[in-house]
Amino acid sequence: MIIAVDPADREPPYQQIRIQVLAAIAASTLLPSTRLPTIRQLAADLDLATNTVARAYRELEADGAIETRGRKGTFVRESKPVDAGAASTRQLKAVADA
Amino acid sequence: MDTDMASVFWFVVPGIVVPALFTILAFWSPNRRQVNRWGKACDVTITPANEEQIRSHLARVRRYRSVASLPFWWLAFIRVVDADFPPALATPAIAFAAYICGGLLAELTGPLTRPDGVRHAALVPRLVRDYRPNWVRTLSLSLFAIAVACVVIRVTVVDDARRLTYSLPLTLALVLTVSVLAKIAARRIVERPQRETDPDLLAADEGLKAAAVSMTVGAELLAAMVAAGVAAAASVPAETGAWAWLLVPWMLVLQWASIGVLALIVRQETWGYRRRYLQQSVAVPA
Repeated sequence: MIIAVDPADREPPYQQIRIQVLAAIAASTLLPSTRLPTIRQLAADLDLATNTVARAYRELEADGAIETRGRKGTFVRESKPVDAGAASTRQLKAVADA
Repeated sequence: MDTDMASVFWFVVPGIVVPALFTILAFWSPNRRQVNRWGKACDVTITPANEEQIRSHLARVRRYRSVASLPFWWLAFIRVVDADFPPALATPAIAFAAYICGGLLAELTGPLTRPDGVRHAALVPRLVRDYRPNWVRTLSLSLFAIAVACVVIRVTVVDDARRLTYSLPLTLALVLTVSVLAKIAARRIVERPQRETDPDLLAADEGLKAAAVSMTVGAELLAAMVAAGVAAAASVPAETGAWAWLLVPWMLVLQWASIGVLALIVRQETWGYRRRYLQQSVAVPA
């Protein structure tokens, strides 16, 4: 799965990453237990600061979409996001409509 | 110092002239045939879209490693003219080490393209194990285990002190250092950003990364072979009689295997890797 980040977009980059990952999980493009790239790798590939990607991952973890399993890496959670929040739901709808 | 014509010839030609010629040729390398051979070996289809990317990357590595090793090849032939030169330094191993270090330097310091506009990235992790088959790691560990076993036998069983030198622990320490550095280099190579979206460019990048990881794994394997060879030679009580039937074939196998590994490094090829993208289709993971 390829994600895209547009620096010119009014949505901050971390939010763009978060929305796309949530949309991919909702569409089952990203299946449970799928391993995600490391923060450093994704930041380097997207030419973003590691803090930006780290924030996206933190928010996704708070949404219940992903989990960090120590040194093994970051994985998509087995269960569906339980607390994606109203804002995320709206954003997901926007993604689905687009 | 032997300064007769024949000795000087066998020092100057293979030790200075031939390496200099190869270094000059490295600036015109790789040619189309070499690029196509690389594509076949690394399972990458060469297309107009990725040919320049592959050619420039391979050429940069070839230039760096040839220039890095050039000042050291004469050491391998110095004893032809100077029999008193220390044997520990009169070896091609130093030039080969410089050759690999030069290649690694090129791999780790390559120029990065900054993306304009929308940036893309695959949500797929890149791991070192994606770029090297498991048997290479197993072989490396097995050789190192053999080396350690030989050292243990040497220390506990063989009471012949005539070969008890500092070279054995020094070699093992050197091998461990090379292994650790190779692992760090492999991780750095894998972490190199992948900012392309075109399937041909992605496949080329994967092939180049696999070739670079093969170089680091090859260095690790070579170090393990040296350790296994040195430790075996030091642990047998004598190089004649029954022991020779064990030691000589073992040394020959290690020698031929080292040549095979070096050939793979020189040709910038791989032992195979897990394809992460399908070429000539949309950029989706394989």
